[in-house]
Amino acid sequence: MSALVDLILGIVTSIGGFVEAGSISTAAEGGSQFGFELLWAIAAASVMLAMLIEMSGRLAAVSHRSLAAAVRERFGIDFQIVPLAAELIIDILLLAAEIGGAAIAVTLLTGVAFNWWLVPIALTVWLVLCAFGFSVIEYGVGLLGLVTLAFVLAAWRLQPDPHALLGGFAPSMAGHDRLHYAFLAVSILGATVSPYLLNFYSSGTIEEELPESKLWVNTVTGYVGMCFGGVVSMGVLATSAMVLRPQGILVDSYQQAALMLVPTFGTWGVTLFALSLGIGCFGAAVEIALNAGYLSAQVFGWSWGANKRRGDAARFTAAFTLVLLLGLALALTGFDPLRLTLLSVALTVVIMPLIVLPFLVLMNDEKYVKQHKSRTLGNAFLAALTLLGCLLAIIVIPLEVLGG
Amino acid sequence: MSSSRCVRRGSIVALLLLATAGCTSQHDRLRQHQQKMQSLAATTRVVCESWLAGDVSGRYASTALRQTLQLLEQERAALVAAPKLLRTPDGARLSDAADSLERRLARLMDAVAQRDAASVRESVAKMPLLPAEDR
Repeated sequence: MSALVDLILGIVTSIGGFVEAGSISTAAEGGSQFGFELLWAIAAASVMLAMLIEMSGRLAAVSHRSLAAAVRERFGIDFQIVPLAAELIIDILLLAAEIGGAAIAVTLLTGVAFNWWLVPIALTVWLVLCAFGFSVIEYGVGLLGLVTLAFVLAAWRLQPDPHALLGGFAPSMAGHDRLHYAFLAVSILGATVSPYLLNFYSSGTIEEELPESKLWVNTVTGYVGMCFGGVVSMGVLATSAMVLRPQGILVDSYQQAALMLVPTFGTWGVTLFALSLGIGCFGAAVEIALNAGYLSAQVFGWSWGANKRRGDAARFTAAFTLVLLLGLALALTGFDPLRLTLLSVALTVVIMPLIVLPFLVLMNDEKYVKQHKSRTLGNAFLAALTLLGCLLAIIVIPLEVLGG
Repeated sequence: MSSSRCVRRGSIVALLLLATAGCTSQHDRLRQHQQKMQSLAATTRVVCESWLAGDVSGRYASTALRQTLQLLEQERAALVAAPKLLRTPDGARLSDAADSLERRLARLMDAVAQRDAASVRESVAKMPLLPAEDR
């Protein structure tokens, strides 16, 4: 496909694939409790994600190695086994949350209790992973996910006060429930800058065989796609702030959150919310499971690739199947999906330093990025993110206990 | 600064934060419970009004009311687990409000299932408004 088509598809699918259980739950809860005050957290997290995604794509396009493979090669298996184990544990938690979120979406449409949908949804995820190649998975999910633009449309039609909206982009501390505010800010970061996205994106860059000569496609896709994707998350928060907060509804369930689209879309409101939640969560479940396969195969040196026949990459297939089964098992224990989502995204912050620190080294190693090394700004960003990650990793558990 | 000293200091900070968990004032905990109760009552009202207006289906309304009842049960369990709160006048009022809302939710779920709009309208109109909180 031409570079322009690649670019357009990349941006569109980044926007459509941005929102999932973590971003919907944190933005909906944040908007209902604190109005526009957490918009700055979504904006900051989106910019961080855009920079990390661009770097992971650049690494993959130039070195022809995914992030996980490059870390293993550079630092050795003894180092890599720790972030691998941590990321797989987080992936299982996230997978359970996404399967649960998709199940609740179906419940909103059918009225049948969500527990009945967990197995069919997990099975459908597995069938999609087995039957389709990378492009179909990536673009199919992303294009369907454009339904989430309903949140942006709703926020626009509700005519927010421009001053109040802009004020939300200035970092501040809430006037009430400060611990819960801080917990949500950290959770928004964890929901947006999910570690699985970095290796998934770098693996996808290799699957699509993006050449070094087309790095500009990666750059534009990374920044434009992720930043516009962040706008969708902001749409969720703003709509929740304008609809649910004035009515005194604090979001504690997806069923409550679904009410936010009713004033704008009437009888279509709950349906659009359910479709957004369902497609977003299903897509994320597919990506997380696929990434678990990528991660395991790349660390242990197995054959891998969504474009390969599953029989030709048996251990890769077994790895994503096993992680999917474990995620399903956790979902079947009956934890409330929204609570599980908030716990999962908070815990992703804990492992962030393990992911970002090796990145700092790789992006300055000519063996991997040749002349495309990170400049001062990129290095400063990675160093700052590593320090921030270390600090947040220490305080996130106490925040979860006190303010979650 | 050595890494072991950093880890020690970070652990002390974390432990201090955890220790303050037990120090949340009774007033703050009551306020949090009251906000949750107001939220659940507001959810009940909005779901029923949306159903009466035809903006949401009976399927969704039943699902949402059932989930609201589950959340209410969790709030009641949290109140029961804090007998000191229940002994205060505000805590006792909150417990009574939870009982009342639970009975009302059960009636509303039946009325929605039977598509009895008149009963839903009457029940929603009689819902007491809990004292407003400045947010």
